[in-house]
Amino acid sequence: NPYAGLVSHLRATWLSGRTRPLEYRVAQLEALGRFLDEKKQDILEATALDMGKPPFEAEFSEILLCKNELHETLNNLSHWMKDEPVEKNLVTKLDSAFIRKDPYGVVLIIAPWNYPINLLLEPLIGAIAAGNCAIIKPSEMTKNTERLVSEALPSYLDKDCFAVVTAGVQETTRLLENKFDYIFFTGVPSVGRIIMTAAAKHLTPVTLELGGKNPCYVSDTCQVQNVARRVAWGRFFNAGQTCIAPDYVLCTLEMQEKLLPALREAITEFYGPDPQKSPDFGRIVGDKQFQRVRALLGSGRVAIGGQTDEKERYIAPTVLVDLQPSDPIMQEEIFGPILPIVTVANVDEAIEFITSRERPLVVYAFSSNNKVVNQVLERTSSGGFCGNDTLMHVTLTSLPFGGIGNSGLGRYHGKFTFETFSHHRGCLHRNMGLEALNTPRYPPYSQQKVTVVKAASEVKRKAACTLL
Amino acid sequence: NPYEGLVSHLRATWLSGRTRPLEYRVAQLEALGRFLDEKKQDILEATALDMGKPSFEAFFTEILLCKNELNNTLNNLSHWMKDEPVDKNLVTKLDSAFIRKDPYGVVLIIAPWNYPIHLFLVPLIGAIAAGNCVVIKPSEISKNSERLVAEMLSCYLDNDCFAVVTAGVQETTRLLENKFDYIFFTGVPSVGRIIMTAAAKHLTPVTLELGGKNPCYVSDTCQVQNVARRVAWGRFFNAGQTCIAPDYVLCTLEMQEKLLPALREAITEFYGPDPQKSPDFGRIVGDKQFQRVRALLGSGRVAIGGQTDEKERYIAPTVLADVLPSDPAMQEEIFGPILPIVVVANMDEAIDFINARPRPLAIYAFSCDSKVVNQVLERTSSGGFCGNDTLMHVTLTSLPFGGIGNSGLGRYHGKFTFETFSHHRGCLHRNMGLEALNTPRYPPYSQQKLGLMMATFEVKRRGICTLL
Repeated sequence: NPYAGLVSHLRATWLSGRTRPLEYRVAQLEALGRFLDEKKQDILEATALDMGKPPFEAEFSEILLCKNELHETLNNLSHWMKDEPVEKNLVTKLDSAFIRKDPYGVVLIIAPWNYPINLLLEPLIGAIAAGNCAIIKPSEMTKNTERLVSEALPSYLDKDCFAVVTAGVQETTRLLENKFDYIFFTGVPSVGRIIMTAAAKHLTPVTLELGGKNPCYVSDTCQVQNVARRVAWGRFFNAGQTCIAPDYVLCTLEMQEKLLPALREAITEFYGPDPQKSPDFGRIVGDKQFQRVRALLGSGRVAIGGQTDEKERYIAPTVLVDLQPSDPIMQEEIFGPILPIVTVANVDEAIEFITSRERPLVVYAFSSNNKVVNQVLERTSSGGFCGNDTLMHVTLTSLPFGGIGNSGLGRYHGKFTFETFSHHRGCLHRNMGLEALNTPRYPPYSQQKVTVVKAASEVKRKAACTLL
Repeated sequence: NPYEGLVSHLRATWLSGRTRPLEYRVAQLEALGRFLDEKKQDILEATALDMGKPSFEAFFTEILLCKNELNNTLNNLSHWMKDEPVDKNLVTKLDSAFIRKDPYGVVLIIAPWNYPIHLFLVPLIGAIAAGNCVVIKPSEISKNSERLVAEMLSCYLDNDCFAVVTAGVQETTRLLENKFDYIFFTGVPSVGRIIMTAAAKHLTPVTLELGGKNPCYVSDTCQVQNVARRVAWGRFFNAGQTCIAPDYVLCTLEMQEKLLPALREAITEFYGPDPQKSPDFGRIVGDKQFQRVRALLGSGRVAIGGQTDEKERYIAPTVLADVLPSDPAMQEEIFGPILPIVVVANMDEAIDFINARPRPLAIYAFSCDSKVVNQVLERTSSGGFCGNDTLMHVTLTSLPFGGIGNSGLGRYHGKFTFETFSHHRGCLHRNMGLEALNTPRYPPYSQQKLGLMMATFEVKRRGICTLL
């Protein structure tokens, strides 16, 4: 296996204990910070070349959000690493009981192309913080970013512990034959299945950050112009190539008629009368993806946009109406700058529409009426949820980010990334003496011993307090 | 598929929302408590028939420990179910940000035969507490317990939400073809791989509680008689059929010579001069397992015990000395009342021995010197750890219980079971108005807007305080 040597080299370094001290991890993390600072311009240029990512968007998603995670981790790491003492029962009262956070060992991080730095670096931050060694596989789709990562990142990190592997599908399959101690994958559900099947051979735990069609319910009671701006922002950011983008709108026919002019106004406000000329609107990452997304324009009727330019891989910010659930655009995650509107009679119909489909990464609900937002939250199931906005929930390092069902398993961001890459080891350290405490448990058994053991280890039901 | 109807029936009930209210879950959990109280005698009899389990041991592990988990859950469930508010950044300061605990849906619990009530009931408690519907598959090896569960449990629980399925290997394979929203499996690593591979097809998250060879290091500085009692207790409890039993001892030749008479004394103290006549010593669960364990007696030399009785499936409490790493008893998890002693030169050699092998479910280290215990903890990796005793760490509902590497993935007990069966949904609920807060993020982008974004989203690195 072409990667066996690399994996065992990293494993040997991990077994040596090099990554265990706090100071070592802090040094590696600070080096990642310098990578983000010193290579900022290169990152903006590479992502611009790869998918026309506007530098503002790249700076926000690939630099700022990563630095936030880095700072959050550096600010709290010594606290996160500490043993957590736990409650003891009567028989262990004099003992030491705690949860120890151990690294897993050698982990594999596979990143996608749409946020090629963020979706590689954020997991890496937690992996390093938790004391692991890591193999990083950036996406081969974003060639400029892939080159940047494989050429520049290794010079910032300890090469005995961290390695970048560039690989296409075949090589990645060979890479996965090796035994890793954790695999963190961001990508599409079909590949998620392949990853988990490969992981199962080694009983390797996984986090799979996948995707789906994120529904966006817009109720009749809302401030339409605000909704239009927030939904348009979420949909057209990075030319729609965002796993948490609102994929389609659910609303009444009445609301659709109000939304369309509002969306038209928002799009013009954002990108001007000809978005192709705007420096603030991205492009599709590759020809194959461009063909795929363009084909979806045949669904329903184009209400806004619809223009394309194959040479630039440009697809205009587009809104489609008069859609059927059976239309092609409703069969797959769009991952492009097209927003279909599906009309429903009311919120109940919207909720049924959502719950009869695969559970998405995020559900969005817009209403001036909090009860409506809470209803949608309560009666649906999704990775995450945001009321009255899009995308914003993932900017909080304090919220766990992950999918459910087809949209993924596991979660990260902030402390959750550290926890993802740590094994929580339950530890009890007892006294060598005080043997009298233990005699009731030993044979020969007796009714008297049963009573003593029960009294010493029993957890009683607390009386329910009805005064509240 | 023979189970498709059952699974979709449970899923329909779950989608109806029946399991969501706290009161419903409490009622089901209290019913489980009544099952344990009213069927206590039946449970003691069934486990006695299945593997000669002494009633003291059955009471402690199958009744008391389960009731502890039940009471701990009932005492805390309303608190665990609450939305957890989280820290917000500047731009979301006026919003509501919290973690919502959602059920997964329809979960599958597959239990083994060695603690046939405990190992399905404790996961079940958490699954119910978290609001799921459950299919329970007890082990077909412990026939009397299987019958008890299949016939009696359904009288206590809501049959639209909870079902017991009796199945052998073939039927279980068919059961696994269905889509479950979580699978909780306790058993051997080879079957764990099969379970995870089946789960991967549906992207179903799993917890796998597996096993391995749990090493037990005994240093030269210890109170030998206490060590002997604690190790013998852990090894011979349930006739050695315990996933966290000390599987083998590592010590110096000098310590082996002290341990042998001490172990002899402990065994006699526990079971009398002829353990086959003791009511407090169990039997091997079946003929196949009996043959397997008996074959391991050929390793090293029998220092204590070694007698067997095929008719009773009795294997005497046995200690093997001078065991070599290549001996049969050192190639597989023993899961029987045989304790091999492997001699090492010192603690470093013991640690190397442990680290050269698959990571076990538990590591035990005995020493009067806390530094030695901490060294072993620090330099090894395992599911859990106990210093100066065996088994006791799993009696604390506050410690997470689970494996790492070959010994498993995921963890449970206490609140961790509830967390295992809950999806942590990151939620943000923003204001429909206050649009001015959002304008800096919208195109057209500008340097000024970027500055504002930095100010409102940024997480700063805190100055390091060196006064501590």
